[in-house]
Order: sequence, then C-alpha cells, then structure tokens
Amino acid sequence: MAVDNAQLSGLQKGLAFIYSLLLLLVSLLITNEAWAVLKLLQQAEQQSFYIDIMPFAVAALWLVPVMLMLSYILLTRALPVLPQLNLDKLLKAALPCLLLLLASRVAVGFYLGDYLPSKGFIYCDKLSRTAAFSGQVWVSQQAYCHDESYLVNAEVLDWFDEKEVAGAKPSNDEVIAQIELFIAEYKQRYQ
Amino acid sequence: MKTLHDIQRTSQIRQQAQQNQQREALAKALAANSHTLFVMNDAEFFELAVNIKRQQGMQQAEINAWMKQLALQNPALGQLWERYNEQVKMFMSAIPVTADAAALAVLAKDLSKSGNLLTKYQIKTYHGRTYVVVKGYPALRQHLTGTRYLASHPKVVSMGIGKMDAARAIKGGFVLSLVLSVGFHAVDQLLNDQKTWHDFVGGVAADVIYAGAASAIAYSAVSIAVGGIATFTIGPLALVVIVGVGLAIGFAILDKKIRLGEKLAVLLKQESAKIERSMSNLDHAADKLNNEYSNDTLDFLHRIFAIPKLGLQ
Repeated sequence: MAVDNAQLSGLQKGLAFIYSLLLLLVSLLITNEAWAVLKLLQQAEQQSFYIDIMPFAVAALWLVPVMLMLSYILLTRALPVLPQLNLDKLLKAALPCLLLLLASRVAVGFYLGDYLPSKGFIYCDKLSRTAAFSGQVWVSQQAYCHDESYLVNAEVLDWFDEKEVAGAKPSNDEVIAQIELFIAEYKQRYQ
Repeated sequence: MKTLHDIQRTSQIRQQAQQNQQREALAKALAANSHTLFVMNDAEFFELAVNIKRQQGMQQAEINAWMKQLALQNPALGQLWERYNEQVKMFMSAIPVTADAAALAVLAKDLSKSGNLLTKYQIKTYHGRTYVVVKGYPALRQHLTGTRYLASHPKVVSMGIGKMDAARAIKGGFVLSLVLSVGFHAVDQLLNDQKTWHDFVGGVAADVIYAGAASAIAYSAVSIAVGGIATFTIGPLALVVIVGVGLAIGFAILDKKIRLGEKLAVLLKQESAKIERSMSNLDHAADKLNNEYSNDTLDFLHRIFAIPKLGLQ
C-alpha cells in the first residue's frame, strides 16, 4: 500500500514526526520494563519485602516490532527522503501480534502463579494497584499483606523501598507496627 | 375541586413517571460511555452468575456441576447455592441468609476468569449483609436485563466527574453511575466506604485519561500512516488496537512513578474532608447563634440588628 506524502499537510507531517518519536520512546520503555521484570524474577530471592511485577510488560514485547515499524513509517511520512517501508506487511502482522500478546499475557500469568510461590512470595491484592495494566505486588511474608494496607499501599511500598535501599531487616512485628501506623495516620487524616 | 380519585390518579401518574425516568436513567447510564458500578446482594449475584452461564450455553445440570466444582474450594458456597436453589423453587424473592464473603469471592473470581465479564469486583459487608460491588463491563448489560432482581427498579446514581458540570460531563461521556439493586438501600454506606468511592473514582479517572490519550494518539498516528480514515479495514483497526494497547502499557509503566489514580483519589479525599469540615463549622456556628439567642434574646437582637437596649428595657 502506497501513500502519497504530498497529500499530508504541514501539521500532519509534524504530528507524524512527534508520534514517531513517541512510539519509539514507548517501545524503549516497554523493552526496558520487560528486561527489568525478567531480571527481577531471576533475582527474586534477593528481594526482602516485595516484588512489583507487571505481567503485561513482558507480553507487550510482541508489540514492540509493530510499534517500531509504525514509528519508521510515520518518520517517512514526515521526512519523505527516507526509503519507504511496505505498509501491507505491517498491517498483516498486526492481528497475529495482538493475539500473541493476549496468549503471552495468559502464559505469563500462569508462570508467575507457579514461579513466585516457589520462591516464597505470596500475591497481595491489598498492595497491588487497581489501574488497568498495572503491576501485581507479591510479598515475601504473609504478615506484610495487612488487611487494611489497601488504604496506604503507596506509603507501604515506599517504606519497603527505603528499607531495601538502606539494607535494613526489620522484624515482622516492626513491619506490621509501621503499616498500622500508616493506617492510623490515614484514618486520622480522612475520617 | 379535586376529588380523592383525582389525587390518587395524579399520584399514580407521578409514580409511573418516576419509574420511567429511572428506567431511562439506567438505559442512558448503560448506553453512554460511562463507568458503572453495580451493587447487588448475594441472591442477585447468584442470579447474575446463573444468567451468565445460561447465556454461555450451559444447561441447568451443567450449572449445578460447575457450582459443585467451585464448592470444593469453599464448602460455604455449596451451602449458599443449595439455599438459593430452594428459594428459587419456592418463588421467593430473597435469600434470608448472611452470605459468607469468602464463598462469594470464589464465585466472583471464577466468573471474572472464565467469562471475562467482571473486570473488577469487591465483596463488601454492610450492616451484616454481604454485597458484591462490580465494575461494569459492556457485556454485563445483556445479563442484567435477564435477571429478575436487577431488571426491577434499580436505583441509579450518576455523577459527572471533572471541572465541567454533570450535564456536560454526561455529553463528554465520563460519568460514574452506581446501579444499586433493590436489596441495597444505603447509598451513603457505599459512598462513605473507605476505599470504594474515592479510590474507585480516582482509579477510573486515571484509566480513562490514559486510555483516552492512548486511543486518540493511536487513531491519529495510524490514520496518518495509512493515509486517511476511509481506508480503515480490519488491518488498520487491529493496528489502532495494538498501538493503543502499547501506549496504554507505556503509560502504565510511567504511572508506577506518577501514580495518577492515587493522586486523584487523595485530591477527592481532601476535597470531601474540606467540605465535611466546613459543614461541621457551619453547624457549630448555627448552634452558637441558637444558644446565644436562647440565653439572652434581647442582647442577641441588639448585636445582630443594633436594636437599642435602653428602649426595650
């Protein structure tokens, strides 16, 4: 499929350039996150408190070639001097890639469900975010998944990060006391 | 002069009009690009589950077998199912039991996995009764009309979100609707719940912002690449979906740092706390004025209206 670049206005060419850069950035972001997830899974035992895994990031690797191809095609719309890429091939690849994304997401879900418990992690829905495509939080101790921690999940995860960086090893009681302190502060603030 | 019959007739017409309005509001809420939270009790949720399975082509015996299989995970679910079946046979409208939340969670989890109908759900207990709060999904609509409980006079509470007023927000498509079943009477309980209201709205708003931006960019980018909307067939549409999903995942990765949903939820909480505080201050001021008036009426009037004390005394 050939597209006449002469039909594109200056604004469309500008948008094509911006979208091209955006798709490139998102592709890099997804690849980086998928790499981080795989690295995190490999070093799961080294995490003292929790693991925040984004299963969609790994599955989304199927989208990266499509987005890179589209990014290049958009760049050729903005800069017609570049060699053209066949759009038909990209369009034919789109649907299979979407199906592969969905299949991979299911497969990653099953894998995580087996792998992380074998490393001693427990899924904690109370600390996981509810937004679409957001990550899953797996904790190393059941005690870290406090019943009311959903109220203060951001504070709790930030506190875990601080302790991880400082190399601190608080006892279960200390962790529970801290979570309960966050909950008490939250209730005082909003109730 | 109006007769008793006329008054009754007017009242009937008014009730009928209110019911029609409710039905229209439900249809509008379901048809618009809105976000809907369904609140139903245990019996209603069982009926919804059965209806979903029937629509998927299951016979009654198969539904029973499916429920028995789930009951292996939580025996309480089996007991609830038996009671539900007995009630259905006796044509009663509600199950007078306090459902075990864990049992319903097993059922909700299975439905969310297999049918992909319940995208988000919460099991909540209000006043000792268990309710299932479900975030709506377009496919859920056909099942709601097929359920006896939910099709009959649900209460609909719609809220426009954003700077614009509610009517504009409805036109813009971002509306949060609460469809409350007959069994659920206390809207306040749901809205005052610690996590359901602010965090749900904040989360949904963030999802909508990201999804809206992702789909707009994807559509625009693909239309530039393909060379116009007129050429959109299955390939370009799949490309729009792929790029939209890719961008949404990219935004979700960024949101790990930004935490937009949580920030919006905090803003909502702060605003509602401010309103509550100012309402409380207002109550306090009114009480103070009332007390002053009761204690010394003349002095109160003198201070408010500058009525001279001398003359009155």
